[in-house]
Amino acid sequence: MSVILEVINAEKYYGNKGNISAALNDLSFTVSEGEFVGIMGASGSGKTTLLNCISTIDTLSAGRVLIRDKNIAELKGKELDRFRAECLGFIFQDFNLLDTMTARENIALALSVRGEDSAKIDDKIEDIAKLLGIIDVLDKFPYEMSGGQKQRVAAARAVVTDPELVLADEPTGALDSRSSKALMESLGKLNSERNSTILMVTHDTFSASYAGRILFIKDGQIFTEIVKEKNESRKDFFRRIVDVTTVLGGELDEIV
Amino acid sequence: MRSFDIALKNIKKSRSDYSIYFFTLILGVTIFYMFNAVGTQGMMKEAMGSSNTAVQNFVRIIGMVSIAVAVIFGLLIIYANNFLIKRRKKEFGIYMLLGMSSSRVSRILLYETCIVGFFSLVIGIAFGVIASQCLSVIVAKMFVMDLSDFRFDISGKALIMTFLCFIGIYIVVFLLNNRSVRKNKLIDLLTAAKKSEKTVLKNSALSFILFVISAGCFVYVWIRIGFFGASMTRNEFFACVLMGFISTFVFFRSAGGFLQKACSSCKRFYRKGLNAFVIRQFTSGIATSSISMAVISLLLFLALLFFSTGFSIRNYVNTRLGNVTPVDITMDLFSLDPEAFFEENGIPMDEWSADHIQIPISKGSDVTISALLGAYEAEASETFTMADWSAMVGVMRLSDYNLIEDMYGRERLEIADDEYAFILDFDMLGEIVNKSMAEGNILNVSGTELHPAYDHVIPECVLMSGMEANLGIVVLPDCVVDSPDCGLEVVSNMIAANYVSEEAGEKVTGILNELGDDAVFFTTKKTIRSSSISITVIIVFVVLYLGIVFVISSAAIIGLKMLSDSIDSASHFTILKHIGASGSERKKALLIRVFSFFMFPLALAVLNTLAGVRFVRGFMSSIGMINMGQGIVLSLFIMVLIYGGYFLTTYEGCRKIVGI
Repeated sequence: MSVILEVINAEKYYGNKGNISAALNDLSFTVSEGEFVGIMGASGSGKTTLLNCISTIDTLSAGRVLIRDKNIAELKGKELDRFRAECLGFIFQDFNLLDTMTARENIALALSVRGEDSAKIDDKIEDIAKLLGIIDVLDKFPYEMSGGQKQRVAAARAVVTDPELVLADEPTGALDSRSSKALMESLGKLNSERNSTILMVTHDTFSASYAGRILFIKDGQIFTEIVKEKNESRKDFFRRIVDVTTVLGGELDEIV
Repeated sequence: MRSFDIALKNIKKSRSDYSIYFFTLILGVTIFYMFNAVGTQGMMKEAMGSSNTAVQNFVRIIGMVSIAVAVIFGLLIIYANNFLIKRRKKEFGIYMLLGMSSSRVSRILLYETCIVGFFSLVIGIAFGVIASQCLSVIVAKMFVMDLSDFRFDISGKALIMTFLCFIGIYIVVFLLNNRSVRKNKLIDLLTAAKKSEKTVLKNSALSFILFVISAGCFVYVWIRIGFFGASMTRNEFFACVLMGFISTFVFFRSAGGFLQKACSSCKRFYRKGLNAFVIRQFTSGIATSSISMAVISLLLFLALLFFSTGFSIRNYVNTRLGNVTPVDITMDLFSLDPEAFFEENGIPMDEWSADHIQIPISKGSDVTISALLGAYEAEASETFTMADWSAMVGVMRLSDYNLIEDMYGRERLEIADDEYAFILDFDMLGEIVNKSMAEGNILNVSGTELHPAYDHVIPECVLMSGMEANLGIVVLPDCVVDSPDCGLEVVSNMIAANYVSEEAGEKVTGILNELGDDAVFFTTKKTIRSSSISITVIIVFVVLYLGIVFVISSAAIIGLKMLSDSIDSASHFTILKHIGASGSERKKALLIRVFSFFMFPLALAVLNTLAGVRFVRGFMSSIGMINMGQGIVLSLFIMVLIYGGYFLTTYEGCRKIVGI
C-alpha cells in the first residue's frame, strides 16, 4: 500500500522569545492509502494543531508534512488552492454548509470549483448520495435538514471529488448519539467501499472505534498507537480504546 | 481604561464597519451645507439680478426642501446606525458581563457618537465649503455671468443650520442606541450575533409567472409612455404610472425566483466554477430584500429623471430668452397721450428711448374671449374654471400691428378686409381657440362679419412677459377699426422701446414703478431675464438637491445591506477556501455580488428613465426645449461619483469582513 501522508519530525511552537510553548514536539507518523486513522487526545494535546498543519490552514515551525511525497509547505498561491481542491476534503464539527444552496448544489460546488464537466456532476452526486443515504434531502436547504443529515452532506461534499485525504475535525462533535452513529457508519462505508483515506480528530471514544488505527497524542507527541486487529470486533476495539484513554487520564491524575 | 479611550479604540477597530456610515455622514453634511450656503453667496445674488426677493425665495425654498432632506438623512443615519449596533450588541453584552455598569456603557456610546459626529461635521463642512464655491462657479457658467466679483465666502447661516440639524440627528441616534443597550437583556445582547433562520428562496412557478407579468407590464408602460405619451389622457397617464409602480414591487419580489430558475436550468453555466454560489447569493439576497430594492430602484429612477430633465430647463431659458425679449421695455400705458404723459412725469420720451413705437389698443363689447371661443366656451370652462369669458380683448389695426412685427424683426402679418387674426402665446387657451378658428368661427364687430385669416392663433407675443400668458390681441383690418360705428374705443397705448442707455432705462423703470399698476403695466428685458433665471435656478437646484439625496440614500442602503450580508456570509467564503476556490475566484465572486446588487436596481431605473425622458422630451419639445444631452451627461457624472464611491467603499468593507 502506498503512503499518502507522511508527517516527519513535526514541531510547532507558539509564543515569542523567552516564552515558548510547544504544541507539536517532534511528532512523526504515516498514513497509507485506504486507511481510516483516528487521532485522540485531551484538550491542548495538540491534535487540532496537527490537523491544521496537515490541512494547510497553519504551518509547521519545523519538520515536514508530505502528501503523496509533496511537501505542502512549498505550495503557494494558486498551486495551494489547486492542491486543496484536488487532494483534500474537509469535514467540520459545525458542518459548514452554504446555507443559501441546496444539498445537491453544495456537493456540486466542490466539483465545479475543480472545473468538473457539468454533465458528469449529477451522476457523481447520485452515487455518493446513495452511499451516504441522503438521496431524499438532496434538494433541501441546510435549514430543512437534521444535524446528522447536514454532516453527511458535508461528508459527501468532502469525498465526492475523490480526494487523496479526507480530514475530519470532530465530525460528531455537534451531533446526538443516533446521528453520530449514522455518520460514523457512513464514514466507515466511505473508507471500505470507496477506499477513501480518512484522518479524523476526535475525543469521542465511540466515534474513534470506527477507525482502523488510533494515534494517541499527549503534549505534542505520540503517546501510543493501537491498531484494530483483522478479526477484532468493534466492541473489543472500543474497549481497548477506553483502556488507553483511562491510562492517559490516569497519568493526568497522578500529576494532580 | 477610560471610557473615552475605549470609545476611540472601538472606532479604530471597526473602521471597515464604520466606513459606509462615516461616508454617508460626511456626504450628508457636505450636501446639506452646500445647498444651504449657495443661496447666500455673491454669485447667486448676481444670478438672480439685483432683486433681493428672488434670492430670498431661493433661500426659503431650499430651506423647505432641506427640512425634507434632513428627515431623509435622519432616517438613513438611524438605519445605518442600527446596522452598527446590531453588529456590536455582543460587545456591549461582554462589557456588562465583565461588570461594567450600563451607565458606563452609555457613556462609551456617547463618546463614540461625539467622536464620529465631530469628525463627520468638520470634514463634511470643509468639503461643503469647497463644494459650494464650485457650485457658484457652475451657476455662473450656466447663466453666462462675469466671474470677476467671485469671492470665497462661508455662510454662517448655513453653518448653523447644518450644525443644528446634524447634532439633532446625532442626539436621536445616541438616545436610540442607549435605549437598545439598556432595554435589552444580557442574554439577548450576547446572542444577537447568532443569525436568525433566513427565509431562503425556493424555485416556484408563481415567481416565474409574476416575473413574466411584471416584465410585460414594464414593456407595455415603457412603450405607452415613451412612444405614445403625447396622445395620452391624464387618467391613462396615471394608470400607467401606477402600473409601473406596482410592477416594480412585483418585479423585485419575483426576480430572485425567476433568475434562480433561469440560471440553474442552464447547467453548463450554473455548474461552472463558483457560478452556482454567486447566483444563489444574489437571488436569495434579492428575494429577502425585495421591498427595499424596489424602493431603491424607484428613488434612483426619480433622481435620474430629475437630473436629465431638470437641466434641460436651463437650456430652455438661455435659448428662449432671446425670443421673448426683442426690445428693452414694453408697456401698456393707460393714457391716451403718451408723449404728454412722459413729459408730465419728467422724462420726455426722446430723452430715454432710442427708438420706440406707440400703438393704440381699442376695446369693445363685441370682441371678447367668449366671442373668439365660439362653440368651445364650455370646453374652455372645464380647463379654466375661474375665467371670465366676457373679458374684452384688446384690438389693434393691422398696419399698427405690422409696426410691431417690424420692430421685433418678425414677418409682417397679412389679412384681408373681411378677416381677423388672434395673437396669443398662451398655449393652453390657444389649443381650444384653435379648434374654434379651424371651424371658421365668425367674429361679428358691430354687424361686420369677419372670418379667421388662419385656422389657428398666432403664437407671438406683443407685450413681453416671462410667463407667456397674455390674454392676446385681436388684429383687425384698418378699415374696420377706423370706421366710426365699430363700437371700439381706444383704452390704452402699447409702447415698445429700446433705451438710449442703461441709466436712462433705470430712471424710467424707477418712475414707472412709482406710478403703479393704475397708470401703466410694463415689463423690461431685465426683469424677465432675472425672474426666469431665478425660477430656473430654483428648479435646477431643488432637482439637483433631491436627486443627489435620493442617490445617496439608495447607495447607502445597498452598501449597508451588503456589509451586513458579508458578516453573515464570511463563513461561506471560508468554506469556499476549504473546497479549493482560489483567492482570485473568491474575490471575483464577492465583486460580482456587490456589483450586481448595486447594478440591478439601477438597471431597471435606467430603463424607466429612458422611457420617462422620451416622454418628457416629447412634452418639452412641444414648448421648445429639446436639448437634453448635457443633463444626461451631468446625471451620469453624479451617478458615477456618488454611486461609484459607495460601490468601492462597500466592496472594500466587504473584502475586509470576509477576509480576502
